[in-house]
Amino acid sequence: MGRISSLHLIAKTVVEGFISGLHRSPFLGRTMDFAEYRAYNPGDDIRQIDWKLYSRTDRFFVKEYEGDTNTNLLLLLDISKSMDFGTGALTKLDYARYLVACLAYFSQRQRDRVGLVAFDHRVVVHVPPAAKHYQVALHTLEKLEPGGHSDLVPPLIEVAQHARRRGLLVMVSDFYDTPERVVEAVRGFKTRGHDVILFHVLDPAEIDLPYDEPVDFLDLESGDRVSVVPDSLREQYRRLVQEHVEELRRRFTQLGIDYTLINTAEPLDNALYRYLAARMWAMKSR
Amino acid sequence: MSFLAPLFLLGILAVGVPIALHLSRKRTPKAIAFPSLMFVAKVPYRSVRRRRLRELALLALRCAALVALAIAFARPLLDSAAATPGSERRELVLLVDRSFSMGHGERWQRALEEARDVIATLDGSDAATLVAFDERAEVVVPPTADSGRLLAALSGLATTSRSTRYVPAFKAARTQLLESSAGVRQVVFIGDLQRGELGGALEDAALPPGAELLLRDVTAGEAVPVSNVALTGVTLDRTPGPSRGREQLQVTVRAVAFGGVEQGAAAPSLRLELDGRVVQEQVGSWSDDSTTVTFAPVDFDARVITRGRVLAANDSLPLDDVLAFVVSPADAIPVLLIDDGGRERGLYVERALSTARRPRFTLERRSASEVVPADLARARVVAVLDGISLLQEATRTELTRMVEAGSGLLVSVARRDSGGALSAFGLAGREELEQALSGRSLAFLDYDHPVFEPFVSARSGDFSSARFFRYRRLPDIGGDSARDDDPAIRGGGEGPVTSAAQVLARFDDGAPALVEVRRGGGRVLVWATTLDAEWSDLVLQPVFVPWLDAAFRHLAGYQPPRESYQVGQTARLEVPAESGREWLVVAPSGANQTFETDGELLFEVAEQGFYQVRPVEGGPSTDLTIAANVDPAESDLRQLDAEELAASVTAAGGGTGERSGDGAETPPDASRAWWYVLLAVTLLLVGESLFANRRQGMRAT
Repeated sequence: MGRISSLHLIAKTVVEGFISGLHRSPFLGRTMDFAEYRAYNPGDDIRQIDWKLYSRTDRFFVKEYEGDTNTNLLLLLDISKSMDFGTGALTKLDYARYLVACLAYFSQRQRDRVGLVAFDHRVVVHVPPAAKHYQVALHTLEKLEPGGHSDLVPPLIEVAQHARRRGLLVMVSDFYDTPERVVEAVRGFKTRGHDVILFHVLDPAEIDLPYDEPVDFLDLESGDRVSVVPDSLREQYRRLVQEHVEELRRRFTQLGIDYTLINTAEPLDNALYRYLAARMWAMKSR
Repeated sequence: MSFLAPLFLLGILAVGVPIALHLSRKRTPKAIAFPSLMFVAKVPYRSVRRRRLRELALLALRCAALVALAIAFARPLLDSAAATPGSERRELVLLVDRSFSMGHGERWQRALEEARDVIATLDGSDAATLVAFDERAEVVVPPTADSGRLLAALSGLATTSRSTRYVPAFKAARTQLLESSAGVRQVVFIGDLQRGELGGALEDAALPPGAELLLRDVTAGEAVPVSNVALTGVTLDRTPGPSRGREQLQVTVRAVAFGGVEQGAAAPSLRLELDGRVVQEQVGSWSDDSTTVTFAPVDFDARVITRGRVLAANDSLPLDDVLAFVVSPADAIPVLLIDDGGRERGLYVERALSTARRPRFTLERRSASEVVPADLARARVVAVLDGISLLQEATRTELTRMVEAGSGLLVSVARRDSGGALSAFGLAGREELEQALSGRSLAFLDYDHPVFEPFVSARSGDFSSARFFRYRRLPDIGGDSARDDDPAIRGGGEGPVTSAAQVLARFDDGAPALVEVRRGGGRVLVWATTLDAEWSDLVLQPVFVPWLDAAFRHLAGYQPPRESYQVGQTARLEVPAESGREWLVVAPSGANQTFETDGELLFEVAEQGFYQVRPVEGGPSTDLTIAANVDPAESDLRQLDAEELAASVTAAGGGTGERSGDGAETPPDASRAWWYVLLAVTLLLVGESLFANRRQGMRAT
């Protein structure tokens, strides 16, 4: 229980700090899903009064938000062996774990229904979305261990068949697969009307290949070993990674899916921004 | 041979993996764990020794297995029908989308042209069905080989105000195809693939095995994303006007630019119309693809129905650039306040009710000793403060009858007990007087009940600070709800009318503070203490006024008149029975429909604009009006993934056995070839395992 509390505390600290930071940013209001004005009634919280509107109309109005409307948030976390890699303080899996916890905390604040799916080449854990599943999701998240090899298509097809209620779907993975396979895996959710947000989590070493001496790379998932001289292949490697990312971005943009590359050396703010923007759009388009 | 999912053929590229593995050489320099060698393996850095392929036979087996696997996933299709073109009769279902998003630009004209082109391909032996769909599917022309009839029906079609649902359309197509015995069965879908609601599970509308789906997207050539400005919601705020019968109306409207604001687009200019007259014009400013515009208050006659519209500048989809609403005449609920004649007993109730605006309450006061049954007839809600035991028997009987007929009654039992008067409503027993010098508070409130509905959300009202120094201990009905078969509440209320009691609030010692009894069509609320400042300070708390307002609205069964409906919804109107049984509903297009009703009128709203409802034999004074607007979700012109939609409704996998039992002729399943390829993959993989184990064994020895 202590560990769960710590994960909750981390999520709370990150999210609350992020939100208070927003109030000073030019993006003020992006978290506020403003719906409409309502005339002030005795008993209403006076902090909700829109004073600017009062100055224009000489009447009290209370702002109402769509944040009260519940939506399904399904968090998909890739726990394949390749996620158990990190050259900094956190592995990609730990980083993704914190990110997912923050998003769960966010949605719990919004009174959304939170669900969690962890997968590698199959579905390992499935917590269906529900208003009371926040603690269950955190508990499950804390217990997750790196799994086996990754294969996005079978587990995601299985999840898509069960996730019939439309909602917001957030997936965190390192997407080590061909763009076609990745798109094939994700497209089913879009077709069923979900709003999909993808976070592509990579360690700085995976992006830059900062090694100097000749080494043998040991594939975390397959166990394959390849001898390389990093200096000679660095440029080509970076180009391939860049092309892979660009190809994913292009395909997902065509499909209307929100895709974000996250470097684990960066703070979580970027990911939270994307999530908020997408959620706001989803609320707006209802 | 063709493929159902040719993209999977890209999987053949995976043969590079075993080739790369076979080229690699084994060394044991410094090893570093790395998440994936996906990119490293693609870099053409190899030593000379690595380029030597080893275990060629094993490599060949592995490559063959991968190639076969990719082919299997690509779903090879051996199309026997295609081998003998024209040899079989064709059954065609033409699905034409006529939802209002098809009114965008030239989409509807393109759809008609596409449909005519398809009809032109019919020969004498073919049969075609014309299905037009929006939220629902309508078979416009049943199966026919008559092209002229199809073309004539097509000319009569037009876009509607409804939104898109795909499942009903495909279900209609499926039904037509299942009833057909034709060898070639095709569905031609003509529409904009707007990302609307599916309207159910696409799997339930899957086409029969062998049926072919042809998608004709009429949005070809349009810019992506398609920008469309729509008015999505309106809020009306009414305040008392300068003179009797007049009110001030403030209109707030929200506009959304779906698909984003076009570069260089002007700020949205919105016009407010009341009864056909433009009364104001405002210019908003876009913020995150949406804007909210509040018009200045407008004076209007609150005694009659006022029709209002907000209009934005017309774009290529004009139907969602108008938002209609109706401002109904001000409601006033007659309330009769009865007290025991004490001074200022009803002062707080009277003042609290006088602040209510929607609805207003018209208050009449009587002392319990002087009230007569005729006074009750004028009221929709009766509030009795401390004086119910003083009412005459005839008045009590009339009160009970009124409640059974649907009126509301609020009884405060405090300085005097009820004297058994509440047993008529199933609350029998003595109400003992309780005192608490330090004051009790409310420990339980049923926030699910309409009486406490204004306080559901956090920080919306605090009842805990109210203190109660004296109260009557009402008969406890056990749990938080019970019916009249509960012995605790059975008293003098025996009779044919069912009553049910429910505790809505309790003091912190568990005694009921507020009890609701439902009897017949009416409601009774019993409050265990005073409704003034003598026994409690609740009336001085900020929650008192909204609580009392909610309680009286609940007792009166008040339903606020709707400002507008959404096309596709069912309108429910209460009509005066004295105006006759037959009522006429006139749609915005002028179409008439007659309904027979005993007081409640239900009809489906199908068009945008104003519906007029009036008795067939009656004067114009009893006319009712409702406003209807289109579904804003349909204004979002983003599209579905066409391939995925096609794959979902033409899946030849699960459920085909069940559907083939419907009596229809099942055509040869040409797509079953992939099973055989999968079998070949399995054999290749088994062979690879055996061979690899043997080679490994040989190397070990």
